[in-house]
Amino acid sequence: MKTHPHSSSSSIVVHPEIIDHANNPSPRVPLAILCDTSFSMHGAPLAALQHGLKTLFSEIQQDMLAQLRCDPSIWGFGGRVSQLMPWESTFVGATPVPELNAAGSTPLGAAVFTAIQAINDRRDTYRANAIPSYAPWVVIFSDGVATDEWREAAAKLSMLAKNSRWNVVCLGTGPDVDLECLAKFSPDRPPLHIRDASSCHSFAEFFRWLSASIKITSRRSTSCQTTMAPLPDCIDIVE
Amino acid sequence: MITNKSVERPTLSHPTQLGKVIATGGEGVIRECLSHPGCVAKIYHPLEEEDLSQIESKIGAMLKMTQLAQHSRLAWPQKKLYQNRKFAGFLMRKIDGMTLVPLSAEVSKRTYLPDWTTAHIARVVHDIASLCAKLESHDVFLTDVSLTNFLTNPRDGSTSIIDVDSLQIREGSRVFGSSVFTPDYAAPEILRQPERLGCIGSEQARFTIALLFFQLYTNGSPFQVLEYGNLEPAQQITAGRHFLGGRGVATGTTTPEIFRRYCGLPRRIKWMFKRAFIEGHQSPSNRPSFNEWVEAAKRHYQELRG
Repeated sequence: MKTHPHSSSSSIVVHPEIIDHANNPSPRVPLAILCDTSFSMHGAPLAALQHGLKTLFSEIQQDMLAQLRCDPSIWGFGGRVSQLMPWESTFVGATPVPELNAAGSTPLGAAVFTAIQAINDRRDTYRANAIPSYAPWVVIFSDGVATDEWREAAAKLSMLAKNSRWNVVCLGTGPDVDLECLAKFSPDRPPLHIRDASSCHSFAEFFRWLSASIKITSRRSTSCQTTMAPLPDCIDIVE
Repeated sequence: MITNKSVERPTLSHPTQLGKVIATGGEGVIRECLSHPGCVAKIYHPLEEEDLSQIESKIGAMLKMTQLAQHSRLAWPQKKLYQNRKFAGFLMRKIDGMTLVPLSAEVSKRTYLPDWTTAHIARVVHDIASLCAKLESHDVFLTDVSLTNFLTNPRDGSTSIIDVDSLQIREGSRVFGSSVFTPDYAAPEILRQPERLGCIGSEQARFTIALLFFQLYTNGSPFQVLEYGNLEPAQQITAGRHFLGGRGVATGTTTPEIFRRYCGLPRRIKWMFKRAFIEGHQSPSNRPSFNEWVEAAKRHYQELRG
């Protein structure tokens, strides 16, 4: 099924050519979004996060270049780690934003390890098809405290950020989030914080910032240093 | 639709009234110009004073190039803009059209330009080569090549250059380089010696533009070689590993799609690419000139249109 990219339909459409690298040999920006779907996110916080994700894809699809280059995937970690959205080009009328359901504990460490492996596998696919790629992005949301062994995952991800230019963005929401833990995943880039976990506006602004940063990235050479867009005022930087 | 009307050059007596933001980039924003409907304004993001002064001088030099300022397919600066007596940006000719981004992938080409054929691509190549030849005659060169730096008329493929403040220009003995550099399109001698970026010449620009033409025709790069997929594009260019064959020897293979599109090109166009990337890799003087590309693309277009 083919849908015009600017149609107003909110139905989920997956174009068969999305994943076809032959039809889109553009350099890719692999974007792994790790969402805390533990029990504490139930209700308004999860709804706000869902709204933010829709904002992200809507913004990217309005940019011709970003929609060809952005390659997102979404994981949830609530009780267990599950891939909620497989790797997808955003070039289509509507990118399916998965329904998020809150349950269980917060296996942050396992989620990060899973995402790192998935990104490396995805980049192998790019290489096999002679498709260049930008440095990967890993975006982590959490509102609480990791309940598994996360330190090794934090060390691995921070090393990738330092040595291989991976872009790691940690966003904590609400009053109970362990910001010190999040800071360990990206020592060179302090975590961000949204004080009101149920604020749709703040999540939407964060994802607009993320999409703007992805757009800037996708306009540059794959070997260029990443430049981020200016952060919105409603997002705090935790020093 | 691209307009060929000449733009009434804004005079100092015309106060400039700006409207809404119509595009945002890394260097600044583009805004409507309510007081001069044939123009748009580029307003720079906040910069260090030294950088802003450098840009102001560059725009001033560009304003003196009246022939280029009057060209209907160049979004050339028309007037400097100041805010609180501080240089803020410039007005430029407004050009309508679509960027070349849809041409970078079959899936977007089928969506945004479903009626386009190879003849349209040949027209785009012809127009860009023609504009580059014109710029070259004024010692002006493209260094920042991006599909978003060109606008094309979806109806007939006539193409213009925008974002001209990133061009390298010369005023007397002073060279105003570009603050933006695209390694994926750079000539190998520039990649090996980046300090040369401040003053590139015609031969380096020819390599860059030939890569753009290759991308337009095939959606790929001659250096997109599967056997070296773990290398970045700039590394592949520096190493000169291509799939074009030549002298009976290929250094690698590419995807079936890129290879098919390349093989479907007329012999003359393929010869131009081989001159640019094989013979011209270490010997820049072998790279086809812009005027040679104008002729080759014109002939290709005529052959396709019948």
